[in-house]
Amino acid sequence: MPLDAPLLSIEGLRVEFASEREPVRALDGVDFDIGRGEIVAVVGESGSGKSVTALSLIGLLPRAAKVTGGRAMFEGRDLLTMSAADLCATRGREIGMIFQDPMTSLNPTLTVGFQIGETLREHLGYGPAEARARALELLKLVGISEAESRLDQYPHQFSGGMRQRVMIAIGLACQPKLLIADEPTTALDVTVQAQILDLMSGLVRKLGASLLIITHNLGVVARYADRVVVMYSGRIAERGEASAVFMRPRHFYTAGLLNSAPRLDSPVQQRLDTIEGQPPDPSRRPDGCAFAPRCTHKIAACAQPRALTATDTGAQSTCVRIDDIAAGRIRWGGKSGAAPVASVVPEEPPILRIDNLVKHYALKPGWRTPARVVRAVDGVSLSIRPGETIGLVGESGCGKSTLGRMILRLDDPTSGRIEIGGRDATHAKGDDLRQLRRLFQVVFQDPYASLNPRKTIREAIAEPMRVHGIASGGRANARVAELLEQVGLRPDMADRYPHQMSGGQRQRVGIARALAMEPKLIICDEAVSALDVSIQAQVVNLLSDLKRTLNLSYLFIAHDLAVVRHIADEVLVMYLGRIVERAPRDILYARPQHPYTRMLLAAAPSPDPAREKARSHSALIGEPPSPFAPPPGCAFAPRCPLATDECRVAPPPLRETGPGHQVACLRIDA
Amino acid sequence: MSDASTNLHLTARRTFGKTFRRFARRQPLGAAGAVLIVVFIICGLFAPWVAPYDPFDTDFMAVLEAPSRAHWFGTDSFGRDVLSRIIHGSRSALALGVTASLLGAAIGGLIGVMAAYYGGRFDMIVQRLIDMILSIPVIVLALVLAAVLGKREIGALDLNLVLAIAIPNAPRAARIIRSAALSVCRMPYIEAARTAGFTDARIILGHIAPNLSAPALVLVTAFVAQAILMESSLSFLGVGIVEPAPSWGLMLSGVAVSLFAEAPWTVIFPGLAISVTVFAFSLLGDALRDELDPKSRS
Repeated sequence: MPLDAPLLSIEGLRVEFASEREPVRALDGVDFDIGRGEIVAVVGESGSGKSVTALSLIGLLPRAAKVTGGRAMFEGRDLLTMSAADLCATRGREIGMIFQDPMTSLNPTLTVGFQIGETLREHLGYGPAEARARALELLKLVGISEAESRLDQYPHQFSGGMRQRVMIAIGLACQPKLLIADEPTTALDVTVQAQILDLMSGLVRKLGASLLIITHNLGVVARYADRVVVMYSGRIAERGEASAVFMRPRHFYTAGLLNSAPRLDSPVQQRLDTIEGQPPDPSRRPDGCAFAPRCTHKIAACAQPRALTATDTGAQSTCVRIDDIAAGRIRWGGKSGAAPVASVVPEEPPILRIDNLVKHYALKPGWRTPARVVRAVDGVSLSIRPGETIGLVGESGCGKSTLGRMILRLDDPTSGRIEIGGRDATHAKGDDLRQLRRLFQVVFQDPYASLNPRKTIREAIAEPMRVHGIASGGRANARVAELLEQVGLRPDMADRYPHQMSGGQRQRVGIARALAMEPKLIICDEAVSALDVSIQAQVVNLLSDLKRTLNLSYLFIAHDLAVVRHIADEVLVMYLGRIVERAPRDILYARPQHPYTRMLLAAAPSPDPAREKARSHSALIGEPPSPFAPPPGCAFAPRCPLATDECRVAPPPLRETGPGHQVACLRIDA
Repeated sequence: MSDASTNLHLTARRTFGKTFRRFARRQPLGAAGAVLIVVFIICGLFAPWVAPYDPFDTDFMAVLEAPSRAHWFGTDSFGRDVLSRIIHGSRSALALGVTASLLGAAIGGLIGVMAAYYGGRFDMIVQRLIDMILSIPVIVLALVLAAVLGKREIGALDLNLVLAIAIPNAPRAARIIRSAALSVCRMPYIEAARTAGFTDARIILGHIAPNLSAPALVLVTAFVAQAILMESSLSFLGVGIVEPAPSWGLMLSGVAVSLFAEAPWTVIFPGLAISVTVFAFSLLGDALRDELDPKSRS
């Protein structure tokens, strides 16, 4: 076999899922190659078939799925027709695999050293001592300090980022020729994500292996991939060099996807560009271009299928109008709106005011652990005026959701005061609380879990209205129809159950349910982070529109700085229970001052290959410390490039450094 | 929802016959179970007309007769017709089995959901109480309850016997429902209901309970069998149904067992009646569990 032949060559891959009616084609002819030493990214939204592609390569498709056509030639052998024994010998030995969730992909009852060594014992016949020595080497390779003692620890003693490092060590243990990573950093915080991706791509290059990354995150692709395959509804929309595809997309789906991703480097606008509608149901996929129903430039020819065709950028696209795009005759145009309007009325009293709010969880002493106190929220004050949106940003475990839950009165604060609509809500109970609850509502993160599966959409929206005596009977029904239209759904969807709707539609129902109470304040707890990029843009736009028409206030809790930038008036950055920086939106993004804010902004990937490849990530170090044992002084000091001894004495207070700009850092000059 | 206007949105009001035919097509086994249960209920309700003989009629000329054309299931040691006694016995078996299991699951289920929902000290106390009750053998507890409560009959149904059978099963139901409810209570849609200012009763009964119908149905169908068997044990011990009243449990216990070798029909047929009933209930329960899941509706 010639050395320049691709390592893996997938041709015409088709996968069907059995269903009650006719089988559903999850993959409808997927072709691409992975060269030796190449990093290839498969990008797509949920349901595009990107994970099915990866799973079919390693024979881990769910039982209902069947490969119905195509080949996947790996080193001259077809992975799809390989015997079970051969497949076992190939998996782990020649093809390494890294899964999405590091919390569940390691066995909690076995030590980390054993789990790394197991691959070596299984495939290479290592003895226990040899395996241990090599496991130690591997742990050092993936950057885990004190590797010697870490070998005998169990997965729960590792943080999420550390576990994903261990997964990489396992994936690379036998020096495979190909490493497949399925959403390897989706479950990780943004500062950790960048470190893991740097590590993974660096190691793959060093070992001369190939890497197949499956991801929905366009920024990840831009930063690391040599080539990219854009998938839509079980087919390839466009594939080619990453820089070509991202800088000069030649498929309207690629262009639309790139446009709808909120970015840190684009001009701030009130509305994001969106792709309207949603991906087709795979059982009712059009024969022609699957994207045509959502495309603003579709023509009659789009109804005919088109094979991947070479474009002027060296990529291949299935778009019928490649030449028109290349010639610049048409461009993807979403609906962009006017620049942000100041909607805040400063004179009005705040709708929400919280004062020095604290939540400490006391943990009882365990068998070998002393009693501890977790300072989930450690003295946070903020106020929101009518019509104002406050963005609350931080990584997992920083206390942002606990803060939201206390405001919602789902958790009781340890100390501090919550005032809603001028009334003390800190300890409100019974009818008092019930009345206050009409003022504030919540939209949760997970659109699948936030609607009761046993209730129709109508019941979900109408019940709060009936309970609070806002409307009942026919009036409630009319109001349900009105609310559904307001959030962009058809009123006839009211009699559906949640499982009959897509994720984006459910999130709209969640918003309609919140609006049913006619609240003044809505707390959005990661309300768009579980949604696909094109759907996320639709929901962010919906929230901004509602804010303007209904004069709502939002507390927008999120980990994604780019999304917050498109919706918030003021941004608060939280780290380990405290606010470390607060500033009006434009000031914060233009002139971030706290080293943590700067680190967050540096870590956020952006879908621009030129920009991404140029920047260095040396500034990213460490992971957030355990909330059980926070450092005595500034919590960020252990990761901070500017930290001095003074920082480690006491937590720095928030200081004013400019108009409306407060920073909790001793090293920043006012 | 009960609003009249809601119905306008439904395409057509389905008749019972249509609903059942649809159910039968999707869940043939469950439908078979339902038919069997209906047959037993009809037998029980119209026992005097369905049964070929009076269940109390003794015929000392025909003691322990093998099944024949005159006595399909044979006769017992008093010469009573076994088939007639089974048909009459289905009254108490069904009424007692179903009410006792429903009641036990309802009491236990409610306690379990409340323990999961309120948590903390309430949950702790409830759990320890359940531990205490579970440490007493079920039959002993039922026996004590039946003896202490005495008899309070409404028609053919002894209410206190129902309680005596239901209460010992309730802690088990509480345990099972509590663990299922714990995960439901943590779902965001329950928190959404709390932030909507719903009362605890509405959240527990209207929002959490419907999501527990799967384990609850399995529980109830399993309890039906247990309740029928417990009735027989209690009857044998003399605190349940008393001879000569026809009871499946009684027919299976006492003298009948010692006659098994020479007259197996006196034991086999009532045993079969219990097995078939239990089987029918579990078929129906499984089918209902699938059918009540909104995800399975098209």
